[in-house]
Amino acid sequence: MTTRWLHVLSWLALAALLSGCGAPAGSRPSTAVEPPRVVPSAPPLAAPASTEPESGRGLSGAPAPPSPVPPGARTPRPDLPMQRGSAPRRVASVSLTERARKLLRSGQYTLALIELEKSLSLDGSNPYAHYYIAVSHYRLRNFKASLDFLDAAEAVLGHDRPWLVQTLVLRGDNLRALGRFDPARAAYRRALSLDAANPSAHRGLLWARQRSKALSW
Amino acid sequence: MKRGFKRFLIRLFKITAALVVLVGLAGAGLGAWYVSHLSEVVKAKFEGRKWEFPSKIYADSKIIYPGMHLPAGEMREKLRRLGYRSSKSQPRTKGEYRIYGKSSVIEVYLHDFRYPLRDFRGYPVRIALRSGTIQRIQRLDNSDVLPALELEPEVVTGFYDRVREQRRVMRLEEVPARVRKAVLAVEDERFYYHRGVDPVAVMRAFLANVRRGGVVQGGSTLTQQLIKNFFLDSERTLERKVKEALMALITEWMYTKDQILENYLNEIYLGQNGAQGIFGIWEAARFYFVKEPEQLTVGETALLAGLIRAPNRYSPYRSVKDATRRRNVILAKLVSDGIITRRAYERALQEVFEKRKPVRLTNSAPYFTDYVKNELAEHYSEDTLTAEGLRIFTSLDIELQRAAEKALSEGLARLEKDYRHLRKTAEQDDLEGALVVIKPQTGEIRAMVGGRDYGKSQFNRVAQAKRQPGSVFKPFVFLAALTHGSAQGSGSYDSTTYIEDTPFTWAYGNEEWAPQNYNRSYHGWVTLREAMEKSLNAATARIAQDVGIKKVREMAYRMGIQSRLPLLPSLSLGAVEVTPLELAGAYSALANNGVRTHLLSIKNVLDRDGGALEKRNIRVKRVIPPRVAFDMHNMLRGVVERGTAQRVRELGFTRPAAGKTGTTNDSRDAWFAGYTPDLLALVWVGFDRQSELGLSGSSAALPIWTDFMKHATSRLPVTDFVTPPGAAARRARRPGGVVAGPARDALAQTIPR
Repeated sequence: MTTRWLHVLSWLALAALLSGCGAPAGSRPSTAVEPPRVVPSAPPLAAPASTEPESGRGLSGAPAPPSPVPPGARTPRPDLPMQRGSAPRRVASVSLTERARKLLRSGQYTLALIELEKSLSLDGSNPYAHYYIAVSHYRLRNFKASLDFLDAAEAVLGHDRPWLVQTLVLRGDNLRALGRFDPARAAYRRALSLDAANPSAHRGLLWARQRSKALSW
Repeated sequence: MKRGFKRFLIRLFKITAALVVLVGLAGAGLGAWYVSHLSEVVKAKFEGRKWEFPSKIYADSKIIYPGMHLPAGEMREKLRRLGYRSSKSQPRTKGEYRIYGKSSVIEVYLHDFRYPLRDFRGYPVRIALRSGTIQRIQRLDNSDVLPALELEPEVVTGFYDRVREQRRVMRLEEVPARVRKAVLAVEDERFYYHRGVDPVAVMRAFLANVRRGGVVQGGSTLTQQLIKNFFLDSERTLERKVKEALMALITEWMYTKDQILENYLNEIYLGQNGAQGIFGIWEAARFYFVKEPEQLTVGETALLAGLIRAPNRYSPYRSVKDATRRRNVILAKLVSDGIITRRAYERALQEVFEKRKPVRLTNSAPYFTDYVKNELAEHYSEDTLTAEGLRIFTSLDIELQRAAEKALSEGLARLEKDYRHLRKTAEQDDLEGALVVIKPQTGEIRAMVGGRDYGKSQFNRVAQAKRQPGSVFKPFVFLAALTHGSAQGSGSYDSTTYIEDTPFTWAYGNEEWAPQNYNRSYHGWVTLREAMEKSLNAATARIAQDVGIKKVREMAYRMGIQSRLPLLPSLSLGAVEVTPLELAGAYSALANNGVRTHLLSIKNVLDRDGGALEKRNIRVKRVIPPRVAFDMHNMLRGVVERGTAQRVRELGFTRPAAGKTGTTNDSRDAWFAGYTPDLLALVWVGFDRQSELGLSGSSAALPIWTDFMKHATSRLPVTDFVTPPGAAARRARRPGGVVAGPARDALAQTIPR
């Protein structure tokens, strides 16, 4: 009973108060009503790396050594070959890999990785997906993950010499970035044994040698 | 006397006046305190967390492509589950589709969808089919031919707390003006002219109720309705009405009309979809019309506004007739208020609500979602999961999940029918099973069935049950041999190496262990391949003894077994306890050329605004050399072609496959782990309380695996396993390099050198 009277009294008091004062509601500054965004403690996303090892700068930011490759030589960048009559699923998966390559070229490495993982999920035997996932990880500076994917890529691309050379060069680049110069040199040498004119392998080998020497001083 | 009485009266008056003033002051003070208290309550609600948003778990998206077998019926069902609506003409708005030309053409106007790190803007596509196979996918807006098309992922379930509210919040400027006006016209036409309580409406309602002799009309403003929904119950008492009015006045004093309207449009209850309540304009538009609010027609807008009073009574899912009648009433009101033109009114009257069934959000993979929830619990609190509206993208394949559930439940029922002793026992130990499906190259868990009936038992036998693997463990012994060779210096092993399959005793410490073959028959000298194909215990134990049990254990750990394994000779025959999930993960390395994949169930986690909280990558690790992996894999192919799993072929599965059966010595567990180049599946059958099963892996688990695989791979092209570089023929030889006779040559296989 008392509470009821209290309500009535308060209501009357407030009505009296409001009838004579206060700006129109519409003219008052708005108050935030959206609930606060709670960001739980989760591992952060890796920041996209800006490394472009083939553009003349080394991974650690030091200028890359002059290329020993004769002018005019070009790093082979094989297009993704599709055999005639390839299974439709492989064609679709490789088309996703192609899309990811474009993203890689435009520097969107995380997006490229997402696309490549879809490509691999669609066709687990797509050899190019394995290789380009390794490239994405390399660009994102996840060198160990890149090496792991190169292991998988070699098992499915090892039959194809140009692609094997590519995987070996990338292996060398990853090892070099991790400061493991001896195995890096071994990877470049193996690449050169299969393709003596490979400019990336030459460049990597020279750079690994110089870094190794610099460290030994 | 008179003077004294007068003085007394004056004193009495003074005392009374003082008392009145005191009581008045006390009342005003109390009133002020109460108002201030209510202001705090209102402020806390308006400026704090108003609603709980359940996090949603999504299955994996589906990629379709030319050459894929996808009959129109299946596509229709998929689109229905994704919330697309059928149209009779070419789809013109997002979310519409039509199938025509004797089911040979599907046109879909794709929804917008916020993928991790990418906002997809829907566009119209045409999918041409011939005999249920996609011939061509073409965009209709720019005529581009697409090599593949990604359909957005399906929602599997939400994480709910006590209340199951479905709601998506809209800002007021996102709500179409027509919807706003219609709601105000129906619920509170003087909204912009009162201050929370509308005396005109109260009087009108009072008169109407007196006239009708009962409560037929309410005088509550929209603000009062909001306050009631936010804070109060629906009890009709004077006390509650006063409190409601008071709080409405406070709210109007503290917040703008637009803020109040926005909250109202997001808060309002608009119906029920099974256990889930539909709240807010966005969710209602989606639920009733499969549209976004800006896509609603005039008629649909009118019904939406009309639903507020009694959502379940006027729901078009309940009665199209009642819904149409209600819509017409609202349309009449809208035209009389000048909100719509007479022409729009007449056109809206012609609209027909289709009789449809709501898409129920039922958890189609409860064991998997429990597993995901456990994984998420490492980083996110229960409160975050039930209230913060996270979007969790997983590896689940809905179609494979359905196939797995069907294969397991039908398989177990078949076993109970064929073997009487498996039916319910006195101790109520029901026959149980588990099935898990993994993509070997990515580690994605594509399906998980942790038991026969989630309603009865939520115990996830895939991830939680520790059971003896029996012979399914043998490949780890063979891998240790192929990798490390003999610890006794008798040379290296390959699939053609001979080993003795005869009874023997293994002495360790002060104990002895004598392994026995399954039916106590022994085969003398056999190759490793034969030992694997026939699952010979004695031969396997001899290999383990030669290699060293420590090496066997190391190999099992390297392949991904995480349970503690004792260093006992019986480990070689799987007399340890592991989970089916561990085993499946370990087998994935065999199916993937010796590269182990980390099991992946959660791929991405986004917050409610689409911000990326987490991305989990596919992770791989070479654990065994390709040569060893291929050798082992070849032996497991032999198991299916000639060995204990040849029933796979008898049951009609003809694709390239490899696998291993498993039966424990006491016949309590039956297993089959097998894979094709695309998928790995593992099946366990047994009793929770360890009753005797009395069946081998080949009789109990293998038929379920075969059933599932036949269905799961029926739409995929036949592909063979990849042979690693450097594979060459090798002949059978005795230990020490002796080449075996011509009879053994038949067993020689192509293996890598």
